[in-house]
Amino acid sequence: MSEYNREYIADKLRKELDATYITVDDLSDGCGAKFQALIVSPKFESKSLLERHRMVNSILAEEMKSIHAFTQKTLTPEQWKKQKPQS
Amino acid sequence: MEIIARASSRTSSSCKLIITSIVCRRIVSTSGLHRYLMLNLKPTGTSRPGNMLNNTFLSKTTSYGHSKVSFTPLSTAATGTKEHVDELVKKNKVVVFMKGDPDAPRCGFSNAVVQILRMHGVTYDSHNVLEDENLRQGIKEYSNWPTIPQVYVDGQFIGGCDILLQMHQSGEIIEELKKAGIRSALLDQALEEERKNMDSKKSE
Repeated sequence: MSEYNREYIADKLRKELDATYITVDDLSDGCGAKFQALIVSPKFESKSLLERHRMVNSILAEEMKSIHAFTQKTLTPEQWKKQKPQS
Repeated sequence: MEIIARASSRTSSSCKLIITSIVCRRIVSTSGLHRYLMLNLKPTGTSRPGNMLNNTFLSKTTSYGHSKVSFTPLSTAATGTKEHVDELVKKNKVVVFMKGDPDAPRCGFSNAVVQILRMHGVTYDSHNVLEDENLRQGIKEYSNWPTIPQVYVDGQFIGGCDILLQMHQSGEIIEELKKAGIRSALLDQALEEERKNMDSKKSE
């Protein structure tokens, strides 16, 4: 059981990446062991998938040591606009 | 069993092992068994090598649909080192480090990678990090990537499950495979369907 919860992860990522939209789900039912994140940030512009994921990984480097599994979707604001259902 | 008792009184201890391992309720003619034993005992004084317990003739080969590699570490090098991983990722165009084997993945993310590669008809080397703690740690340091599975194409780290999935959905993976000289089966399938559609349109 790690000491990180989704709010903490979301906050940290939002701050570091200037994320315009971010959701973090805890798939381990509150255990803090398995997270799923959707991050929309302009900082991802012109970066390859791998680069984006590495950015996220390095921000969460310390936390990763106790998190068991981490899934992430990294989008630029452009991509997010196209993807999400039009409101 | 009667047979065993009789036979064991006449034979060497190594044969006793073999005889007692014969669990059969059928009536085996003692003369036949005896004749067989004597045939082998007389010339060599012992049982045939293949009949000894713990013989190495029967090697267990596990063959997987995809070239699963159970590596034998170099006699001097430890596993999980940079040199070791360097070697592994060069052995095949596509190399996957996962939990479990392609036939029995032990993790949902590893399974996703296996399924995607299967869909594209890719043959690859697979390494089960659960079998080797050094490799499990070493591969994370090698790629500076904290999670398993990890996919390497042409010795380059491509990503994990998320990235592979996104590449598959966007079609980017086909390009990546093409760069390595691998033709995606899914691409062929799609082209085939496209061709059929065009043909049927022509005939209308």
